[in-house]
Amino acid sequence: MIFFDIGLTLALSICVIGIVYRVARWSGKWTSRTPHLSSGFFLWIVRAVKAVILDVLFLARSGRTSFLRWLAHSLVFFGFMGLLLFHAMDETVTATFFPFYESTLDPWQFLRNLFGAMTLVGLALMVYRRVRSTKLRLLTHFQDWAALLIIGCILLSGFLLEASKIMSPAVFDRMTDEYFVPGEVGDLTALKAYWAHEYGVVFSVEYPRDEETLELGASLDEDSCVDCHASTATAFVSRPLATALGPVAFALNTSRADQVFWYFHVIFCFIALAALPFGKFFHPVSTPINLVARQGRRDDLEEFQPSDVLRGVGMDACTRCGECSLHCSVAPAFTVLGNQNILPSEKLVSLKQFQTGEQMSQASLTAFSEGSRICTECLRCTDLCPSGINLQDLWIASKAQITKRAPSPNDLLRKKTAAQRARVFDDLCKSSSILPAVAGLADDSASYWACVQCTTCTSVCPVVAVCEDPSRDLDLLPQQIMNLLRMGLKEETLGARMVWSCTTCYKCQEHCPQNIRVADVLYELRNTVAARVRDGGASCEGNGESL
Amino acid sequence: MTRNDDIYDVMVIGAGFAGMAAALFASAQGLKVVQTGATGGIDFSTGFIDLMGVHPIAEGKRWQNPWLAIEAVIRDCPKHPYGLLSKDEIFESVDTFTRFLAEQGLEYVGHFARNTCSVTPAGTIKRTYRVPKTAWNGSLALGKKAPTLIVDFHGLKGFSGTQLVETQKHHWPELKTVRIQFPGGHGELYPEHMAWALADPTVQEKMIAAIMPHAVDVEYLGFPAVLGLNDPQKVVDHLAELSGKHVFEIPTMPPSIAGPRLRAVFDRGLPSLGVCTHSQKMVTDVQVLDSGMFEFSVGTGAAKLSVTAKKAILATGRFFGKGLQAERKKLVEPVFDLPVVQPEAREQWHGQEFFAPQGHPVNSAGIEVDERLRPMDASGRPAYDNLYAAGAILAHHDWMRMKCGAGLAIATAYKAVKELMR
Amino acid sequence: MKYAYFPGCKIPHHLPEYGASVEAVCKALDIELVPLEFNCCGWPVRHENELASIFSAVRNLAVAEKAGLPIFTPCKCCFGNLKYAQSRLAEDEQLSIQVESLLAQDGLALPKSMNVYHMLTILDEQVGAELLHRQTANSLEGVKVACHYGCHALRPGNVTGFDDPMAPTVFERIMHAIGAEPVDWDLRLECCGYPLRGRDDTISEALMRKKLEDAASVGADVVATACTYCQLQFDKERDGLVYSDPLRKAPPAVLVSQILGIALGLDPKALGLDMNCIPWHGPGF
Repeated sequence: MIFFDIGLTLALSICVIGIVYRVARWSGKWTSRTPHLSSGFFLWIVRAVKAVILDVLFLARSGRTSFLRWLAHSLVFFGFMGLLLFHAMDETVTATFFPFYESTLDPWQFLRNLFGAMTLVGLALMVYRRVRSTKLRLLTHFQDWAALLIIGCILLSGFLLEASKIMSPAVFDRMTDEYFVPGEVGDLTALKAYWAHEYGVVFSVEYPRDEETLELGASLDEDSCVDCHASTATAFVSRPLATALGPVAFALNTSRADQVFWYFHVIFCFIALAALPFGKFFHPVSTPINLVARQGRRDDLEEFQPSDVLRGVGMDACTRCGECSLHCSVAPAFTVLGNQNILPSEKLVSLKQFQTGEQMSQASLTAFSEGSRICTECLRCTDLCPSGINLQDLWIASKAQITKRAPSPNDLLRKKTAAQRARVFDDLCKSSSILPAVAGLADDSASYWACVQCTTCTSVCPVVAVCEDPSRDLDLLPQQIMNLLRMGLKEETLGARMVWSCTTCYKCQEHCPQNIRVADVLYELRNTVAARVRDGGASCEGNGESL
Repeated sequence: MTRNDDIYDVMVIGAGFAGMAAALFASAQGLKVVQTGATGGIDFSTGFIDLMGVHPIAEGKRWQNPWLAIEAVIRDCPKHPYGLLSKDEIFESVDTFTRFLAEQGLEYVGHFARNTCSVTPAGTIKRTYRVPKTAWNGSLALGKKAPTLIVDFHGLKGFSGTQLVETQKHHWPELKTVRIQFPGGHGELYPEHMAWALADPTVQEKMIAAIMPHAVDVEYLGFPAVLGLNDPQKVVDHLAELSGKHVFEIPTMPPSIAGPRLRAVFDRGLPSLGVCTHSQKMVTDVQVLDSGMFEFSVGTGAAKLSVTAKKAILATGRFFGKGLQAERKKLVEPVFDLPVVQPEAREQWHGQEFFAPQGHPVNSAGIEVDERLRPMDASGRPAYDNLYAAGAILAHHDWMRMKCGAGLAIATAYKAVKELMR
Repeated sequence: MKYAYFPGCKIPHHLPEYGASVEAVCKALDIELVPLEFNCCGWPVRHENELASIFSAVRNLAVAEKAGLPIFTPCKCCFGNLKYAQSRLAEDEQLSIQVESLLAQDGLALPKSMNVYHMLTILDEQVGAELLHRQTANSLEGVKVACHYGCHALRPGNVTGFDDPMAPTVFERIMHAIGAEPVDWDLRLECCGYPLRGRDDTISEALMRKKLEDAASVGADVVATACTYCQLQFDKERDGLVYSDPLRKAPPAVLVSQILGIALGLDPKALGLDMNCIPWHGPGF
């Protein structure tokens, strides 16, 4: 079949080239580190095998966090693998082991339907999971729906194909032309009658259903067909589907729906094959590799610091299941701030872009940088990642690099001279759409009416104490900041290093004889700058250099 | 502290001189003491303990003998709180107080019947009853007009060696000054940080090395009070050893570290005497229970707690200590809402001249007490049988101008505890 | 005694010995720690946005309240931020409403009684000095301990209600109970400096240095910490100094749970003492 061969070759080429490109990217741009096997080779093999059985085949990691997900993915995994090996690759796999294989025989017909049904049920559960959870719905992007869609299409087209073939008189005729030698004149009719009755073929004419005819048909069927055809009753999805399509059977048959569905089915399969190297479609290749490399570990202990290649494998092993984000310790910060990069599954997307040198806008770099900063490295995502990605290592290893490309306000400040610092945040929009200051102390002059400039806050400050020249090293001292705020000059304080080098020890606030909330105010000044940056420092008219 | 369901013998409201003294005296008597208070006047103290210095303030007459001064004050101002105390009580109280300070490493010295003259950062002379030992040599040097070098530091505000010498130059010709760079500190300097730095012997050595070229023919070295925070005597002794001169401290303008030194002494010493302290918390409300005991609401917000005590001593200070609150038209006492003795009308609070030597009427406002130091209600009877008052909250004295603040606080606290025990 | 266990984000990867020793000690003292799925206390994100910080904290309080348990935390920064959120809700009604609607998105209700305790408070008030003394199998007599209070549990005192912010005594009381000798040191209540790591490492190190030098100057054998961050600063960060730095010879920093564990006769390995970077050569091990 020329179409099939060309299509397959094309899809396979894209697939192979894509895989090669993907694998080549695994070396990334990390500061390299030589991997070392801390344990012996034999132990490594044992652990690898264990990982293959437990993590890859039994999806043990998925089961830890969500039974629903484990069930769904197991169904899809085993269902699809079954179809792939025993149906799609039947000529190379099944036929080799079972010389008398025919696709229409049992158990293959039954298994095909079973695997197909399993996969469909699994897919349905996957869709349900993503639709039911609000957070997960937010995190489900184009490629996530696309993956579910393409597999779904393959399966549905496959069932429709089988159903239409069951119904098709044209297919029947093709088969009888080649394989049936009628002994007598009424034989073909009897066979047809039997096949209509038993196998579900929908002929354009109604054939007799009397016992004699059927008996004759049955025996003819026995002689000529049964060796290769099991009753379509075991096609427990396709056959009922065919029955359900009964009302439109005539139209389907005349339009050769079976051929149409074949093309659809094959095209969907080719699309999936060609898409394999892209995005999360690649995980069937990368995730098992990553799971084996991880050897069953859920931590990130230093002796197992991965090489750059393994880091690349890890980044590619993400199935975008979203479990990490659903359980992320700093997810509440995402709820408030809305920056998706705070959540691990989305941060990983940015990290991949960053590491592979993809062009990223300043806004996305800033968002990524904020996400990187907010992560507390609590280890939870790493512990529960079903794909076994060593996320903790990725986060920690990338922090320095991303900070350099998109510095935080604090980092940016440090690079400036004193004169520049006084103006460093001037270019940020002082827009009102920023998240409102919760306490609003800095703008509320009543906060400072009681300040008598006694300098107690400065005297007790440990940061001032360790500075050889406090004014030079910190720009402004605490009581000077309070004084500026008292005069309504908040903007003049934002670039002072005292604000950013405050160690939040609260001694100033504790000792203040007039109950001024000094430390809280310093927090608020930092928050003010952070909010302006988040609100789109880049979108304002100012030099992009500020942030 | 998340729980405080003990019943205390006495609640001391206030953590200034009077409050600290009251807590000290009460715990020494074996009472179960709880204390609350927030940063207020004591943190701006010079560290000197004044007993009585100036009377009448309109004339600015200074007294050598504080006891005679006290007699004169009581005679001329019969309502002055000193009138409620005997000389023995006053002496005993100050003596006990300073003995406690000495035990904690902050020794105070002076004469029995004579005020000590001490030089201020502006070069004026202050007469006070007890000075920290670390300042003592300054008084000696002043008395002898000895050749003395006042060391000043670039960037330290609130202290000027030049000013000091300028003011004293006629009386004390051999007084010199030099301004040097503080070792390891530049720009604006603050006493507390300098004091921490100077606790380090290496820093002390560097400083002396910088001073010695200027100190060739002097006997005394005077410094602003930055010679260590918690153990100044040790620093002074070491500096004396390094330099071979007598060394002394001069308090800087407030906020000097004298206040933090005193506070640190009490923060260390009182808990070990069994006093339950609630620092930086103020009493927001008080209920009188059927038994007559007080139930205080202490602190604000989530850290609020309630404290029950059989008796209480109100030592909340004046305006800076929040013992008295100045509203638009009148003064109020915020804890018990006791009547405050004050000028009749708002216009009468202050005179026309800010620097008038006789001061201003509002500076004598406060609570009136009976002879047992119990605050009185509007009818002239004790408002509560179990409430006492001590310190600057008492009316009829202008402690800042009379130079009697610390002594009066300590002595009235002593008396209050004594009365409380009866 | 049953508590919801709030270890905080920094224990699993950065300081597992704290988690190990806390769990070992609590087991020995019959304190039941129930693990719930908490989120970050919100302390680190407070630099970025206050609402994110407060919501993070209150969400934990809501989770604990739903389980009907008070929170037990060994980290002072976590404790401080949970208390801070509690105090902000009490003073700001608008904020309460905002947080309530955020909580509703996760199917949680605004917590009413928000009971949060730091480990030291539990040891002092629930366990008590007497019980600790009785259970001390290995008295720490002669061991001079510099108790490091740090900042975020102590201050601001009207928010945390932990102890007297100027004259706290809880830590020393516990040390006395197990026979150790707490020493008085000037910088006892000063900040360890860890909050400045990654923001101003120079000052952070200077603060660390001052603290440890002070402890050394009073002859302490060990600096006792009761906070994940403080221990990270005095142990892990100190370990980053060059080998010749004399600060490495200053007293080692040991977690209060580790010290307590040794006093109770627990196995040093179970207390994670082999994970301390600056080792403590304590009594009998």
